[in-house]
Amino acid sequence: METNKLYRFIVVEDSKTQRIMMEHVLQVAFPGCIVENFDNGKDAITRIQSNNFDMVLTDLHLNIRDEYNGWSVMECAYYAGKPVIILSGASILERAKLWTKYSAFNKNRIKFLAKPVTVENILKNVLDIVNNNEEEITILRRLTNKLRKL
Amino acid sequence: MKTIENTEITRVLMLVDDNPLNLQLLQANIEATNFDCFILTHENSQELFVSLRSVIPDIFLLDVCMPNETGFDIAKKLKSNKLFKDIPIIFITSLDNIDDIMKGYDLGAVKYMSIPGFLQNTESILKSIIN
Repeated sequence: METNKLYRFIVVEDSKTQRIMMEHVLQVAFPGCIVENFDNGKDAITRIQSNNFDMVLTDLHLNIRDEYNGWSVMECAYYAGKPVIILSGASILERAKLWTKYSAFNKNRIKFLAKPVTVENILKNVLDIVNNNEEEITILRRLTNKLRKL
Repeated sequence: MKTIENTEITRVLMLVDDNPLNLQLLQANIEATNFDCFILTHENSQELFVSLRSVIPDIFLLDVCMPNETGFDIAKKLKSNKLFKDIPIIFITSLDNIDDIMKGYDLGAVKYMSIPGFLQNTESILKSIIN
């Protein structure tokens, strides 16, 4: 992700109020960004598969029952090579952390936030991912330039 | 590089009042100011504690006279929870006798005021508390 680009966020959350809140928070912090909201895993996964976004923020426990829950959203986004922020209750989160630990997940691309959460904490984690990605891109550019010179 | 210090952070306000008209009035008034915030409204303590499972707000605005649990009861619960004990509470109520005012401040409120008083100075009150 680059500093001057317009970010595209996907928010997956079954509570309408929280979806609206997340959209507001992200749009104030990242002016001009696009926030796409989903209340269920199925629609979110269809959207994630199109691969035209920068980050997913998802609840793990989605009340709308379909064959895709928050775990499927997390996996789908992760395997699409995109960063994911998981917001969920502490007990579910512990299981998720354990699961990712034994699944050899890249921890720089997955963040876990236990609810209840402050807006500041959400934004700190979003910025952490944004800035890490910027650093990675800078390093890759330097390497590419060196290789070109060779 | 964008950091948390140079990023605009939306403040979250949680309002509790059993009168929906008061909630609408307060919400409209706050939204009309230049104070950027997201307001979550609740008609009773149960709704508030459901919201508190997900979000930690920046300010609580509580009515005092409500059926079941009063604003004072809610404040007691909030102040006994380590996650919420440091969050400022404003009581917005028509109860203006000295005992109630003292009780409000004893429970840790930063302000105790009437609705008209709050409506007149909404922006400066909220900004002073956040700053």
